[in-house]
Parts: sequence; C-alpha cells; structure tokens
Amino acid sequence: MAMDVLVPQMGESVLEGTILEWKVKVGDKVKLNQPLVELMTDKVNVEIPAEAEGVIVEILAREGEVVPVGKKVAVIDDGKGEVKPSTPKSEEPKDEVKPPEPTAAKSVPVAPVPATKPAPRATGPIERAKMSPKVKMMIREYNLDLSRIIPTGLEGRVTVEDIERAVADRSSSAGFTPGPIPAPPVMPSTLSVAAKDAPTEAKPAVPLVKVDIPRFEPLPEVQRVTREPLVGVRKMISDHMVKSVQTSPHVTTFEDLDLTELVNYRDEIKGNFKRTYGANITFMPFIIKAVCLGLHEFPKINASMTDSEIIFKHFYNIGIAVARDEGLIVPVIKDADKKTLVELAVELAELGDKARTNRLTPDDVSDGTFTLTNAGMFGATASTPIINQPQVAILGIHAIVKKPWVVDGEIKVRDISTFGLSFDHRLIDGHEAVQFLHRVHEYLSDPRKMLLSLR
Amino acid sequence: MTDLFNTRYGWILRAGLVDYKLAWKWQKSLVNMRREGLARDTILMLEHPPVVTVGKDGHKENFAKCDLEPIHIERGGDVTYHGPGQLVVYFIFNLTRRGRDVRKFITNLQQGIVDAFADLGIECTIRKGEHTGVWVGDRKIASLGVAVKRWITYHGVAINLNTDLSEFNRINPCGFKAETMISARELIGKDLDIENFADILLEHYANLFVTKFEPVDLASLAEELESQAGGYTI
Repeated sequence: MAMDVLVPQMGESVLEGTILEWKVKVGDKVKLNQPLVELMTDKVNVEIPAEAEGVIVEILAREGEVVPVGKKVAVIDDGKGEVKPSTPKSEEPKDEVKPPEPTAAKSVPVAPVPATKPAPRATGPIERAKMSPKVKMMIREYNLDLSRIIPTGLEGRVTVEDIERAVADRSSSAGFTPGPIPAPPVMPSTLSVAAKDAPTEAKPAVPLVKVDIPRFEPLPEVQRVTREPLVGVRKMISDHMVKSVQTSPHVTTFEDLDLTELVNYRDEIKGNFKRTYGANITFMPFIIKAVCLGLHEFPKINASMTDSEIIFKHFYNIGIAVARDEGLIVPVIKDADKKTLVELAVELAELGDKARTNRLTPDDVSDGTFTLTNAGMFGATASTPIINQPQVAILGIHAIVKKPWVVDGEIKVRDISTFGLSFDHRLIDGHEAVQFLHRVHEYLSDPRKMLLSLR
Repeated sequence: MTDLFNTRYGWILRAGLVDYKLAWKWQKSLVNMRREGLARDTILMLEHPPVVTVGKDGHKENFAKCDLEPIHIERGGDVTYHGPGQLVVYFIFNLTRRGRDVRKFITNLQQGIVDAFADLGIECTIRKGEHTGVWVGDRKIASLGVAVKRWITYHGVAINLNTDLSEFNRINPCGFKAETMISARELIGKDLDIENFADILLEHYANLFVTKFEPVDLASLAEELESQAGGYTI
C-alpha cells in the first residue's frame, strides 16, 4: 500500500521548508529509517527517514522547492497491496496539521499543550488507535468506550489525562465510582455459604499412593571413588586454565546474532561445495573471516600484553578449539585473514581430522593470536569461555537455533546464535569488546556486506 | 512542577574548552549511541577556541573575507563564530521519544536561554524566521542551529556571555552585520561567571524538557556505555 511522506513541523512558526537534497529517486528501494530527503528551514536542517520499507513510486517536490508543513513530498509503496488509504497521519485533513500560530507571545510550552490540536474525533479500535501501552491498559482496566474519549494529545493521541477526564465524566454522569472495573459480581450469600461448606482440607477423589524412600548401605571405601594421576594433556589444560583466570580479569559480553541470511546462503552452496572441493562448508570459515575483519578494526583484541607493554600483532592466526576424548586442543589457522573461504574450509577439515587422529604437530597448535571455541555443537546456547593465554580474548560460538524474532516490528522465525566474547579487561575496555562483537555480527548477519570488505 | 512518572533522565557533559572538530566528532558519536540506545538524551556544554562554521544555508558573501578556514557542517543556518567566553550548548536528543516535535524542541532551546537571562535581570525575546535566536532589543545575544538525523538532534545554541564581539567582524554572523551581535558582558559591564550561568541554564532546560540531567564526564561516559551495553562493572 502507498505510504505518504509528509513534511514535518520543523520550528517555531515555521510553516515551510526548502528541499535541500533528495537522497533517493523514483524506483529506489528504501529500507526502514533510510534517509529520504534533507529539508532546511532558517535554522533547522532535518533529514526525513523512511517510515516504511518499500519502493519510491513518486517524488512530488524538486530540490530547491519550498514546501509547506504537512505537504506530501513522496510516496512509498510497501508492496503490501492497497489495504488502507496511506498512513494514519494523512487521514487527518491537511488544514489541521498546520494552523498558523496565532500569536508570538505565548511561546512557553511547558505544560503538555499540543502544538496542533486536532478536532475531537472518535478513535478507532483500541489496537489501532494512537496511544501508549499505559493508556491502552487504562482503557481496558476502566472498561471505557473508546469512541467517547476525546483525544487531546499530539496527532490525536489519547493521553493519560484524557482517560482520567473520561473516567471522571462517566462517574459524574452515570454514578460510577472511578477505579478499576470491579471483579465479576459474586453474591455475598453464595460466598458465605461456600465458605462454610468448604472442607478445610481438600480431599482428593483417589487415595494417595504412599512412596517409601529407600536407604542404601554406603559402598566400601575402595569402591566409592577411584583416583587417577593428573598428568599429560589434562594436567596441562588444568594448569593453563588456572593461570589464565589468575592472569586476566575476564569479562564476557554476549550478543544474539541473526544468522538467517548466512544459513540460507550456506544451505544453498553446501551440496555443490562438497562435490567440488571434497570438504564440508561449515559456518566456521565465515566466522573466521568476520573475526579477522573485526580484529583488523580493533587491533587490541588481536594483541597480547606483559606487565610493561602491549604487543600488537600484525598477523591473524586464528585458533579453533577442537573437542577430543583426551581433552581440548586448539589447532591454529595461520594468516587466516589472507585465505579464501574455500581455503579456510579445506584447511579446517584437514586440521580437524589431524586433531581427532592425534597427528597435529607442535607447529599446528602454536602462535595463535585469537581463539574461537564452539560449544554449540553440543547444544549450548551460551557460555563464558576462558582466554587462551597469552591472547586477550576468545569468542564462544553457540548453537544456531530457530527462534521467534522481531524483525521490523513483526515476529518471524529466524536462525539465532548467541556469541559470547570473553576478554581481558586489563587491556580491552568494554565498549571496544562490545563494538568488536557487534561488527562481527554485522558481517555475519549480512554476508553480502562482508563480501565488500574481503580481500 | 515535579512529575514523578514522566521525568526522564538525561546526561549533561560539561567539557570546558574543546576543539570544534573534536566536539563535532563527540556529537556524531553520541548521535549514533543515542540511536542505538547506548546514550541518554545528552546536553554538552562547552566553549570552543576561535572557529568559524557554516551551516547548510551558508551564503559565500557572508564569510568571503574571513581569515579563519570555515568548517562546513550539517546544521541549519548560515555562518557563525565560536570562541572563548561564548557558552556553546549541544543537544543530542531523540525526538522520537518526545513526539517528534521539532518546533517545541526549538522553542525550548531558546526559552531556556530567555529564562536563564531573566534570572540575571536581562530581558530577552525570542525572534523567528531568519531572525531565529534570542535577542536583546535589536541585538542578538544567542544563535541557534540544529540538525536532525533520523529524529536524533545535534548541534544547538551559542550564547554570547563574555565573547569578544570584535571577533565577529570577520564574518556577517547569520547574514547580519557583525555589530548586531551583543554579549552579556557588554550589557552588564563586567564578566559573567560562565559556570554559574551554565548551572542556571541547565536548571531551566531540566524544567522545560521535564528531564533530570545527570552529570557525566568523558571517562564515565565510556563507562556508562559499557554498563548499559554489557551490564558489567569496571
């Protein structure tokens, strides 16, 4: 359906503005909130954003043209069919939108006196009417007739005061007591009878089954626990974890990633990919790429540190934690930023295979600058990983789960994964970590955007 | 009028003397943060070293003989000068949360200045159209220039408290003759305490915008950003 783009009120006594620049042209697809046009008055420069996604079907004012407040300057077709006649705003007669301000003297709008007071009119059904959730709640609570409320708020909104006035009116005219609607009528006599007759203890219809809790003799001491020496990989992991948490004050930040586009793209290519290269294309190569782009932008996250210096690394070796029965191991993809998605996929398959068959060389597991750990393959939706020293951050990847998600104001089924970034707060400030993670999200949620930045 | 339920909470950052371009960058970051919900409605109060800026309505002849390289920015209005002694107030407000009423917003910016000067016994008026700003008779004491991007405001007002008015001679401020400008110092014959005026002004803005502005400094602004984004402490 067509949505009108109108010139908003822009300044004290300003009734018109000049079109400075159109940022779109007829036929352009626009996203929600995308800037459409820049308008100027004497002192205020306003960029008008799109209030709907769609296609610009009409532009009704030229650059340099002076347009009055409330004028329709463009039309967006949101492709949803001709259901309603344009936006609610344009339903109001144009005259109401811009009454000339009568005098200059009273210019102190402290009290909620609306700048433009639309003539009192009946409001539509409660869901579609313009009002805050609080007001909607009050209407239901007081069981008010919406058509009897006179809206005085901005753009015909019903305000809390309007409700209070409607309640007061009702109580004075119909003898109602203001207050929430009383509970469904219950005759006092019925109530007291019920109370008298009600058994003090509810008696179930079927007799209870009695459950005896058994008691077992304790096992002989030698059978109760078994002990194994802490050696080898387990000992190393143990020491490393303790050292890491003692060295780095860990903080973990989470972000929910909408990976629907990536999931669709990967589903589209995976069959052909396997036939062409013999390896599976997982999400990991994409995540590695997005992480490298993020690290490039936030170099501290790819650094390490001593007591006296910060060591920035101008290479991007990404470790991938791999689970094995013997314990976790972290093979490293060297210079991951310079490798293509195909090369990363093939190398990941090789390294994974080597890890699981114990064929990794010391070189395969050394010199990482940042680590990814995937707890999602076992179903986890969130975790707080421990940093792989001497690195300063680690990204925990979790299961991609179909969830109800709000997209552009509608609930949709989307593929969502929560990423958790643990970082060393000695070196990395929260806003840097949060921004880094958000950047990774931006790339992964829109693979086409990532394409633009790939080497 | 205290309104327990409708009082909003905002931030006030008082930054002292700040380079124009640096403050411009802060404004743009705050606009992004405000849009993402990482910042509250924020007032920045500061002074700039001498600088000339030109808004979207800039006319070349008004700064043709200017000795300072003018900075072209996205606010409305023509050319103006900022310098020490002038209190500059920027507003990063989300107008979507305030009924998208640009007109009321602009009125409030000016009314705050009128009210603050009234407390000091200086009577000012708000004029409109190309004269938008705060005037004492036919002399202009405060100028206004605002940009609104996706309903987030930035830029704001510049109030001549102890401004050296001769500095305006290099341009035609807002298209007017340089002599149109006046400062509070010239009116009362002595320097005004800028910090004190800023306190009074902030109080009026708090009333007009029904907002409690809580002081932040740059360091804690970063902290606040973190605690809002991640919910952890430093």
